[in-house]
Amino acid sequence: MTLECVDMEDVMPSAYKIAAPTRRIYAIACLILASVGFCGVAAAQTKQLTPVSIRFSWKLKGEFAPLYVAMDKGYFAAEGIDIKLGEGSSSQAALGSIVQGQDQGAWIPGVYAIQAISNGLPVKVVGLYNAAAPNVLLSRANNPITKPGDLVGKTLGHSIGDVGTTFIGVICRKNKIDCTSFKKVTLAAPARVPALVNGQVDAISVYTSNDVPILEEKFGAKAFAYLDLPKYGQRVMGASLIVSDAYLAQNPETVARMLRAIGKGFDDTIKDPAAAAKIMLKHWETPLSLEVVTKQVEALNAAVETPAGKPMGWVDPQAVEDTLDALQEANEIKGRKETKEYMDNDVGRRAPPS
Amino acid sequence: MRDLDPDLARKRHPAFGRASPWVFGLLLVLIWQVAVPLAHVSELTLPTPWQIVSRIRIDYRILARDASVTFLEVLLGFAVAIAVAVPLALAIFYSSIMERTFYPVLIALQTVPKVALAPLLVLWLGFGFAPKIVIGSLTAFFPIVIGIVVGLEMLEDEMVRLMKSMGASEWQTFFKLRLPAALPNIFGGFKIGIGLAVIGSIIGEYVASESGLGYRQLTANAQFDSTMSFAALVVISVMGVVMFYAIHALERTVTRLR
Amino acid sequence: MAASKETSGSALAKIHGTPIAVRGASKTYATRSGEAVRALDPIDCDVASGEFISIVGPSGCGKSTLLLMIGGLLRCSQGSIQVGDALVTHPHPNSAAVFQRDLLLKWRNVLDNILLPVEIKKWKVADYVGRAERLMAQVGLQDFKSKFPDELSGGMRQRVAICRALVQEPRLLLMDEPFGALDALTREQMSVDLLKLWQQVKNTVIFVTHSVDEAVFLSDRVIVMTPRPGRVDLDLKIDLPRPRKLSIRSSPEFLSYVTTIRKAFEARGILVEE
Repeated sequence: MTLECVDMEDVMPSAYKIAAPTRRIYAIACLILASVGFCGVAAAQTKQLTPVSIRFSWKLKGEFAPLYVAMDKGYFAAEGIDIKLGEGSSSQAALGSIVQGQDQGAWIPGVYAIQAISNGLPVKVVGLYNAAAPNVLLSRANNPITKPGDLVGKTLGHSIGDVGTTFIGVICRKNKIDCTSFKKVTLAAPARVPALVNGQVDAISVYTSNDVPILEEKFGAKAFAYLDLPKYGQRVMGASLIVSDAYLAQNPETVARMLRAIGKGFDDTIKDPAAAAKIMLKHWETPLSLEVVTKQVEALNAAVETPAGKPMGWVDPQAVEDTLDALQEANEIKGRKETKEYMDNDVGRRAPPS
Repeated sequence: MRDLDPDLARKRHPAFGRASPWVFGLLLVLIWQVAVPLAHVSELTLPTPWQIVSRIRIDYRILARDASVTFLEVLLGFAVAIAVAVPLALAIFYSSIMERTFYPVLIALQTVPKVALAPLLVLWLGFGFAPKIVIGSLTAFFPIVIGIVVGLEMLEDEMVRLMKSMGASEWQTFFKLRLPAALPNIFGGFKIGIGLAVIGSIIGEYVASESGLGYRQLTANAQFDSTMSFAALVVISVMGVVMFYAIHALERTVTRLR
Repeated sequence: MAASKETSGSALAKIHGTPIAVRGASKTYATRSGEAVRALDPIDCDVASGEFISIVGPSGCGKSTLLLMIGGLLRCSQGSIQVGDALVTHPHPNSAAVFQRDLLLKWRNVLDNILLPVEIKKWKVADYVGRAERLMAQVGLQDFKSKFPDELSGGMRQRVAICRALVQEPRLLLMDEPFGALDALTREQMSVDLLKLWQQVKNTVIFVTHSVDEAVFLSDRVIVMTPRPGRVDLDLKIDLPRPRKLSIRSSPEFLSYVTTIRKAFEARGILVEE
């Protein structure tokens, strides 16, 4: 990189002619600045830290622990990434953010990415960690709903964004019960739990990796009954990493490094959930106890289904297809694309760096 | 013999008039405190005032930090609203072309619910300070503009004629007559605007934030922590009241000085 | 209201008046529907320096319009007006106006209201405080200088407006029905007070009024106008001795002037008794 100091006489009008000795001082100053600038640029290039920010679908919960572990233990830095993790306000907002380029990765339940891609959003699922989102139907212990048949004649509380109740049709179909035999009422999200506790609805859908441990601590483990939705056939993609097509095309190396770092973070989280919870709490201002957060992390771990021989975060095409089936069943998408258009497993990240 | 004039009676006991809003408020709080356990309402549905106050005391540092973030957003949003409103109001007042051009747009903007605009603003401006300030100023903007325009238009032509008869320039007429006469209306607009700026900032925090009272309330809801949710609401209300009275005090000072 | 005791040096300095020449000044308005309405037919009139002129006429005859044109607050549709040597295009720096409403700034006290024109003309306020206080004393307001307009009666407020006009030492004083909003007794008192002030300053005054009695009492000349579109019907010189006392209003000369004017009105169909 060179810097030319032009002869002042050429650029300045004659009225502002500068005396010769002054010009010499300018020339030396230029040279000094140039070498400083050059050194600075060179130094930055040897450091090579790429800034990456990942946007969550929602406010912090134990489900995000693996990323905090990866950040805290320096896995991102080791991959040359300067990571920033940000809370979000919905899956849609997170997806919008990566398409606009304000963030580079979105960490959301994969089902929303599949829906968005079907509607034309230029993004891809590059990492899948919970092939079936760990949702349960929560009911009161004195009015338990533990199998699909129990739903008949009951009232289900639903709100926008509730995966479990949005795709309840899959449960009906796979377990041969009539979806019209129970009521489904729509509530505002914060009203779901009070409505259940006060008896206005009989069941709501919640995440084992988020709400269940909090509620159990608040009301006692014996207060509730559960219906495991994946067990009864509702398999829609949970925790996933999404990137935009544009970013993937321009920065495949960075995406590969992101996935490696996250994968390491996940490995550590699975090995020691309590330690992961502790790390998460270091970065999280919350009244929740270590026990609750550990339980959230444990539920997250329990839902990891990476097949043997595949690396952590491998996207299972079957999971994509199950999700598409559920979306079509629930009338949440109009068109369905080729499975491979939703995902990318070949970012070249699987091989560890040489 | 007792004085039967009701006006005089009221003047004789001014303390009662001043105390009555506090007494009324305290009465409501007491009813709330007593009714909740009596009706077996769980803390999840409606915490008692005592629980809320205790929670504010326990989490004072967190709430204070959130309050300062939201306060800054409100202040900036309000300032931006004023900065845009003043020239626009002057343009509308001084030019009927501007009035005809801008009024429909302003009213359309006012009618659009900011809750609907918020996610779009996040899409365009990201998750930082910017969307909150923009939403806050969009929400507060309309009453401020109207307050200024109406305040200026209310002035009688005769007074302007008087100023002209003294040889006053438009600049002098504006600063010695139009502006001082319009102040009550302008501050009326400010008072409405500050409350709306608070609402707007909170809406902004609902869709894009990592701190602030709206954020605190949202996370508390997500964690089924109704007490904290209410605590945040109480702090928001107190902040709104304080800001309102700050404007009121400013009005009294400015009015005295004009 | 009894006049306050005058201490020496509290009398007002004489202001030289200014001559006015009105040449063919007329005013035509366009209504909302676009038609042209003639408010004032071309007027020709001369006013000598230091003269007190009244303009009387029925409502809508254009007397206020003429006043405002002389004051430079309305533009002539045709013709021209000269005040002194200057052609009137905007308010003359040496003229001051008093209107029917006092138009005091309610957020300023009496003294600050009176000094308003001094501020506007960017003169040194300190130099005029003494004059303002002398004016206030002349009209009995010396104890009210820190009071605010809402603490004064209508008559007192109008007195403040007159002080405000005179503090500028205007060579031309324009008055548009200044006593129109006051009750009859106050009105009479105000006429006396006005003359007392004018006797000292002796500037040119143009006084618009509905009241024939008031016009004759106050003026050197009364200009009587026809109904709309206004024209000068009668230009009557009032040859009554000055200073004028209220008792003069029952004198035969006074009554004959009033009768002359009223006959002029009757001839135009105003104040006709069936």
